[in-house]
Amino acid sequence: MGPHYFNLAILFFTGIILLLIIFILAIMYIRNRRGGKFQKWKLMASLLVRKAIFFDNEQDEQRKAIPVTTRLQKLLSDNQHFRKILTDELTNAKKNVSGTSADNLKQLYMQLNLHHFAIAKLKSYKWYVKAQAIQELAVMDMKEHIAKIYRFTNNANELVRMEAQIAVVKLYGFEGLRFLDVVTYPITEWQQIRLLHELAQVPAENFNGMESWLRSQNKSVITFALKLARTYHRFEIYSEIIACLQDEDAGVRLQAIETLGELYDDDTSDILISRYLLEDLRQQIAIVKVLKNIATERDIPVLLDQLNSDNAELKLMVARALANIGTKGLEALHHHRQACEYPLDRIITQIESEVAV
Amino acid sequence: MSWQSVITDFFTYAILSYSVLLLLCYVFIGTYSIGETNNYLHKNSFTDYRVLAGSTEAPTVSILAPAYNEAANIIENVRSLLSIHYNNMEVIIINDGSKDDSLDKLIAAYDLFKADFFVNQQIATKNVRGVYKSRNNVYRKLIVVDKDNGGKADALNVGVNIARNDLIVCIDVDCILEQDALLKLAKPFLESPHQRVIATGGVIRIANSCEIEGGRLIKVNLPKDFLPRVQTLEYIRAFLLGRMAWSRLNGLLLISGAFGAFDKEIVIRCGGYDHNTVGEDMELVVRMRRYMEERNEPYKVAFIPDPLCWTEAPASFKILGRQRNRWTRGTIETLKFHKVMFFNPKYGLLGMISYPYWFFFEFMAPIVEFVGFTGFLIFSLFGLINWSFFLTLLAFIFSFGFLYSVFAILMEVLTYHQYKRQKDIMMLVLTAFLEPIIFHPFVVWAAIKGNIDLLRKKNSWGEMTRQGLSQKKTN
Amino acid sequence: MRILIAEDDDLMRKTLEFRLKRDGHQVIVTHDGREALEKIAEHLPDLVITDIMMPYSSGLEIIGAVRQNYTQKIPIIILSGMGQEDVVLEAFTLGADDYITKPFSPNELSVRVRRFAFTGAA
Repeated sequence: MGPHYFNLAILFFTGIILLLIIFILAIMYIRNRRGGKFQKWKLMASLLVRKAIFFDNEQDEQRKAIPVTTRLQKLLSDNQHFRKILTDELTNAKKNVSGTSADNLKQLYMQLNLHHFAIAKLKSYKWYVKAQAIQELAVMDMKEHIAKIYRFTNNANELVRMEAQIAVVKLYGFEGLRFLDVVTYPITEWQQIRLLHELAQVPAENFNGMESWLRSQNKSVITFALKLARTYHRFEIYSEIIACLQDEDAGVRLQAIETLGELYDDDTSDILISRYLLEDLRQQIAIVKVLKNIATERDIPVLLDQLNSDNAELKLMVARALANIGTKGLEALHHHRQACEYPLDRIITQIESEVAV
Repeated sequence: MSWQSVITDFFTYAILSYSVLLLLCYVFIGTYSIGETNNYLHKNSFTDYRVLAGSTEAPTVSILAPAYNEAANIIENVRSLLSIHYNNMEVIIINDGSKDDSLDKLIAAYDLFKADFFVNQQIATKNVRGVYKSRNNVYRKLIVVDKDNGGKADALNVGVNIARNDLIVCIDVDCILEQDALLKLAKPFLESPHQRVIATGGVIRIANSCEIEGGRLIKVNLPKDFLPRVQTLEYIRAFLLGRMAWSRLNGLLLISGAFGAFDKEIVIRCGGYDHNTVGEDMELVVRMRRYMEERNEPYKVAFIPDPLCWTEAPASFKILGRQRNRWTRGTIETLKFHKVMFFNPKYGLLGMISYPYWFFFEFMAPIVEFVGFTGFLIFSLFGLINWSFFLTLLAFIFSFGFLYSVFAILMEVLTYHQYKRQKDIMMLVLTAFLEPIIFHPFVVWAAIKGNIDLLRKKNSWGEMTRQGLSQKKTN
Repeated sequence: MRILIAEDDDLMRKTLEFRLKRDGHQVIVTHDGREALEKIAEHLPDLVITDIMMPYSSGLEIIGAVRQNYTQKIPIIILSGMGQEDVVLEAFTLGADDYITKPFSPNELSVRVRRFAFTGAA
């Protein structure tokens, strides 16, 4: 093993280093040059978008075309960077404005044929290009292309799937939730938050499908349906929610308990108490939290019993629940046999100061 | 064949094979890491974090910030923590028995009163003197805890005991957070339906020479002084070309103590931070992973390649030396506590790849370097090998290191591009050139000292240490 | 009226500025919370329109600061994408006078602003 191998390697490394440094300098130079041009283009795009926002379309029955300079049209068809800049400005504006301004923006988008480029991107093999196109079409309210987007709601790629699900809900509100009937991949917690956020933008209406969703094979569909029930106060499926308390999946049971905190009936506290001993700590804490809001005086003896638990956190939650029932609950708390011992004495002091506020 | 040449040949081959293995690992991990970072950046372009900020379904967060003698900046830092956009969050400042007037300042600035608070001692800690809340509704998310001095690990454990939310976010109180930092750290907990995410971490950036006002970063600048600048380079290499790969393999062992999020339930079940080690942040992550492996529950430790927080790096050799010494001792202590996992298939990837990697290429690397360098130097002095061979070897290692750093700089320019001026990037390249000459030997020496200090401590403390070690946390 | 806008999105800021100027108001634009508080101190506007999620300072902090530090009641309109109930409640508790969620209609904003011209500041 001679030193000439090393010398070769050193030469090789040095060569690559020089190449990399030149590459870095080149990239930065190009970026700076581009930066100036892009700034100008962004100004042009932003001006056009603003014109569209304030465009007065009231006069005629037929919508007038928004004036666009030929220079801009040419730039649009020739240059993909400019197209991206303009599309970004348009979509960004559309997210922020509503009413006639939003309609104008949609009109401009179609007038410039930008939707054709987005639809073409749907066929790309790169997932991020597909997903971005789906998002764009949804933001720009392209209801006409819903069918193409709907196909992606059960796509293997997670992001394409997520964007498609958001898109159909954005375009068709509660109707769009149809995909819950067929989706086989799990819907992550994050996606559920996004879906609920989208639905919140739409006026609430009576939607169908809850019963089948609550019995879905896909556990995340059940959890999502429970959240829907809670958010939209669907009292009529109360018995299905109770049934979910027996589900094999702990997450579903937990969600069912939390939902009962909002959708409860006279027998809810009894049912929850009967489930209590069969459950793990996490679900037990959830049950106690719900009981804090719905428990009545007749539940006092059972709650008092639970104060004997070794788990201090549980003690605290049970004490809080008792205190929330009212003066009878507080009295019972004080009379508990552990009331003068640590930790229950300190817990009681804290609870009392909470109630006093 | 003289015995000298046998020794020199053996030595040479040993050191060289180690080096080549190490270099190959770097290349593999580096490439994998960049691929993953790219993937993440694409995913990120779709994400509107603001949806998470206002959502009631977002995970509940308790921010824990231990403070010791931070009176100068504590009011501002607390203010910037309280202004984070996150719905269900509480900020818990733990005053670790500061000798200055930190507590008084906080009480005055935030209108605090001592509350009746039951502290659930799920983890044993030093005495808690009081729990304070604010009378002012604007500061209702703030809790200040006063306790007897016990060190960072103990202070964090007090925070864990008091925290009422599901996630705990441990943060150094003088760390400057990015706008979306908390949202980005919380999101991975929501994206894993099949595995339980137990901890997440992000990228720490160097704040030296940056413009900071009111606890917020206003402008990013490359550090003017050499030491912080070379650490910037180090961090870029480690985060861009390292962590992401480990995270993807689900083998990440280290989440920076400056800023990280943890599943509170698991932390408590593991027994909290261990105050017997100086590397409590790394040790906790390793212990949490081990806990999940032992119970065969699918889990994950996630990493965000985005810069999440900015912190001041040591600017003097003395402080830097102490820091690296501490890191070395922390690594060794962690490796020792969990040595049962070494090449143990029961611990899956953690035992078969992560732990051995840390043992051979993080712990042993400075030792091998030191031994290799002095060995070759001695051989050259005694004429057992050519000076030119020695120098060629040095040049080989040097040029690879320089190449790796320049590659890291290129990746930084292509991804996050925090330093936008050509002058700054060229400065970084120059720094990369000087690093192996000025910085690296110092760091290796600090690591060697760390090893020696740890051995010395064990020997001189003899029986006491032995007793202490036998009370290790199992569970 | 003299109106101060605090909005970090370039397009939105220009849109607001354009519309309000067209309505005849004098407009001061700022990019973030910190700048907004500086300019409020400097110009004492008749109305403040602010977003919530901005760099350096939340819009809610601006409400708090303005209510605490100034004796004259400067009307504050929140214009934000965060429409969740608790955020809205917090804004009003802190002292906001109106809350408009995005997406919003510029025409509607114009009308609401005019309301403050008649009832508003001295």
